[in-house]
Amino acid sequence: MILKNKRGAEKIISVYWFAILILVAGGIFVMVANFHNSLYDVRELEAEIMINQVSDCLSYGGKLNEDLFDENGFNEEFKILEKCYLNFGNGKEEYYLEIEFYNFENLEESLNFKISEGNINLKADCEIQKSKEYGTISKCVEKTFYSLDNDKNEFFIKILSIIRKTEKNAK
Amino acid sequence: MKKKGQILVENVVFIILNLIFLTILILFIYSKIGSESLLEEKYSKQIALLIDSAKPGMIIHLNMEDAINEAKKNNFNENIVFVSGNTITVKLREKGENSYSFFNDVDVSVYPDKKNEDNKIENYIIKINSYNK
Repeated sequence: MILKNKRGAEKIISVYWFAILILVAGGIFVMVANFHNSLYDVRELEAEIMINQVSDCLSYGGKLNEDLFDENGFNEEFKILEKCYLNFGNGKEEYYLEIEFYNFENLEESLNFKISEGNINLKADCEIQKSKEYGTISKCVEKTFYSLDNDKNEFFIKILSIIRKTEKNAK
Repeated sequence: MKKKGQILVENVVFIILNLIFLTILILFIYSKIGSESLLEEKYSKQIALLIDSAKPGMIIHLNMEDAINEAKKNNFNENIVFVSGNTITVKLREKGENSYSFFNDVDVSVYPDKKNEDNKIENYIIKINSYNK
């Protein structure tokens, strides 16, 4: 009688042991599947590379590109995509680029010159992500730098780069 | 005698089932790590970012040995990396590929490097020719 009970108890333990094994294996399956099914998100890197390319194009050796100015001040006809060798594709839906110029003396007030290209609707995604970051909407990167023009006027330049490409980078 | 024999059989079955579990788990992890789709995604994005950050005149040698071996395993002996417009595509199998676009407006050529001493191609060359006008 005692022997029978002991064997029964052993069987129950082995059933529990299998249940634990299945739980652990299931957990590992789910974690690995989740990790490998998620996509590499390279949008932030891409946005930073774009900012580097644009800042190299706007200012070289600390001096602003002469094409940014004409006889009346800032050149409103400055075509950023052509001048900085950018190709946003046919629809220009996946990218947004915005460059704002500030007087170094007064950083609060933007000068009346702004360059922008791409899908302006993506800017709303940056507002949403100010409090919390979401993977399934566009990624925004903003950087600033200081530069001089030919007359040694000081400028503060803010570049905002936004990349959507959600389907290729997030699930 | 009979009781001891039963315990041994139970233990052996238990150990075998454990081993089966572990083997399935390891095979699953291994299959996920080396999958073609993962390599295609990794290399298409890597090449696109390299092109984005490159300047005309640059020649980049990228080691793609693992991707080339994976393509060979799938009997896919064609060119595995190609550029169309501003999109880079990596294809390691008959059915399926991965593409990623780059924003740098450059004329770029991608082709396999020369074979090494073991008569194998290890690298792909990414040549940035000039800016598009």
